[in-house]
Amino acid sequence: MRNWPLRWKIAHYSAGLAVAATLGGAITTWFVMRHAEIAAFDRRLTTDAQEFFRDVEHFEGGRTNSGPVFKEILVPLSLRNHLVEVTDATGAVLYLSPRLRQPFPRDGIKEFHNHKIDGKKVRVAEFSENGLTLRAGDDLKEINQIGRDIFLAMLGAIPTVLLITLFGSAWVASKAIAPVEEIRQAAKTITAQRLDQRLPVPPTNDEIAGLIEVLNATFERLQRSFEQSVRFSADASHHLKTPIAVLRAGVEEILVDVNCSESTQARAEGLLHRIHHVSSVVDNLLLLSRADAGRLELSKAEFDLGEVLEGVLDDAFILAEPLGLKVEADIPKHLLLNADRTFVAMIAQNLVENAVKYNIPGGRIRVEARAVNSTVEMIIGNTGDGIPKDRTGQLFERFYRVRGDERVPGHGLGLSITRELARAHKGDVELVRSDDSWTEMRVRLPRGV
Amino acid sequence: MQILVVEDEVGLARHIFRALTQASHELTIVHDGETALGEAEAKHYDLIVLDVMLPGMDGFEVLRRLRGAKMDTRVLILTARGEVSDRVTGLGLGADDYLAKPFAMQELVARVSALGRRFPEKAPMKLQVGDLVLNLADRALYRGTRRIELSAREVTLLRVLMREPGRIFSRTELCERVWEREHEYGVKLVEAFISRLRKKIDSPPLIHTVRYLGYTIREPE
Repeated sequence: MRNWPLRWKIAHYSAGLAVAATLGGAITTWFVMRHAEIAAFDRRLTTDAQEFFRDVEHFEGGRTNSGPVFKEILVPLSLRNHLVEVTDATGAVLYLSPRLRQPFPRDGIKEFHNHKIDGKKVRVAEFSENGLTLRAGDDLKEINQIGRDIFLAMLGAIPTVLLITLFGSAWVASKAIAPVEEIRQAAKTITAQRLDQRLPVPPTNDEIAGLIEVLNATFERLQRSFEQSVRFSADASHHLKTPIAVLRAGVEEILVDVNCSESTQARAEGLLHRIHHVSSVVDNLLLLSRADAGRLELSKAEFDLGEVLEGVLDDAFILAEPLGLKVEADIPKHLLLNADRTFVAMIAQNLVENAVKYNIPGGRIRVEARAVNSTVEMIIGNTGDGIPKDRTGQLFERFYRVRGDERVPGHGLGLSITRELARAHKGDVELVRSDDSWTEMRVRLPRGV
Repeated sequence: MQILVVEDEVGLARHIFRALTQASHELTIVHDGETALGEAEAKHYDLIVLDVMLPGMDGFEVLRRLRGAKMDTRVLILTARGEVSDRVTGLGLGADDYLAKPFAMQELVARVSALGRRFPEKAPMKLQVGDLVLNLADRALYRGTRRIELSAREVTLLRVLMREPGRIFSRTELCERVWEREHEYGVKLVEAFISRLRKKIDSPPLIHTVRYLGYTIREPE
């Protein structure tokens, strides 16, 4: 039920409540009815008893010294159908109604109370006047029957109540939730690239309108801080480039300065390469911040992926040699792709670089490329220890390196950049396999031709 | 050549000044856009080296006003952004060439002297150093009459060297020119490809190592 739509959750809760209410109503009604019926029963018997005594009192010539005279005819007709017993002052039984087969047991209680006679519950009371005692009562069969009928009638209504509330409240709930669905659809279109979008605020003044206003304010703040952070890294990268240019020019001057000793020049050459590295990191950060802002510009043109891979494989063969790695390639002669050539080359270069870096001595590298329908697939696999299962999720995170091994060069931006570049082309990079013998990455790019 | 350099970073301006003066150009250096416009109107310059990121009026605006005032002085823009949009904006506004920071100073010198030629050179169909001929159309390399097969990277590397025979390229610069972005093993690769090229080209040697500086290609003396 947790995963049900809200509409049906509300409907089910309402239906449950309605059934419970009906049940509660039935029980209460039954209880109140029974009480009222019993009170009426008591009243009826009391009135009949009083009528009986009045008749005895006024019966003509009935009065003797020893007290009133009992005559069966004086018992009211309405009483005769009940259980009735009349005794005189000595306790001798003067009358038993037809349904009463033996006198009531004597218990001395006058008010209405329950008695067991012949295993049946009987409600009985005792009235005394002028030496005569009338005991009248009856079982509550009729009252019980009425109660049961009312109760069953209400139970019988439950399925109807259930159905009506179930569908009724589903309808009401879906009407109430309709604006929420609209919010959901509108919010779905708000992405990092379109953070300036806002949800339409309905003209109503209800909770939904309030919620949308709060959401819009949140998007506003989100957009501002996102833009700030994107602008910050872009600005920071830009402002780093000029000082790097100064550094570089300075180091290059030492390199060509004939007055400098050879060892100084050797160190300068090393520094020059460090500067090149710093400059690449800045380039990469700039590229990532552009990608984050959705403003990575692609300069697309048609080119042969085979040619690009040829260069990348050229590097791989050179690097593989001293490590004793075997490089296998399966690349078609012509594989035209309409994309940003530089970026696609970066993707291939990054992945092949990793395949060399994280390999084992005497291992293997395999590079494949092929057209699959409207996409181009590049598969780069290598032998190696593999990426631990619990780390694969972080693989594409920035500055993340699986083993933190200082001996392996790199700054941990390669894979995240690779993925951003592929995604900028509406493609992707995935890890398709990684165990202790083989790791394989797959790049998919739309051919665009 | 009379060159106006517009660069707000004093340190970089000084390095540019030294490098271009050494290449026997006459330089004037200014640090902001307004001064640059005034200077360009007051005096004739053969070339303006213009930084895009300037305080106040930026380089693009300076370029727009220069072209608006019908001044056709050649302009080389220095952009801090290697992005497509800046290159396109700059060239669209009428810049003649662009260079992304950080650049190799020798590259700037080479670009400046290329822009100084009265007629822009046509892209050559083949490059030649001594009896070594690289045909750019079909990537065929000949030493005399002997044909030499080259791999993709070898062609790119040799092309960079042969475009400017005699110029010394540092390993770093070669890394930048041959690979799309920094390659982790760039230096190692440059050395490996150079040694492969040397073996293929054979003697007499044309590619020379200049200790600590890098490599150059030139005819044997």
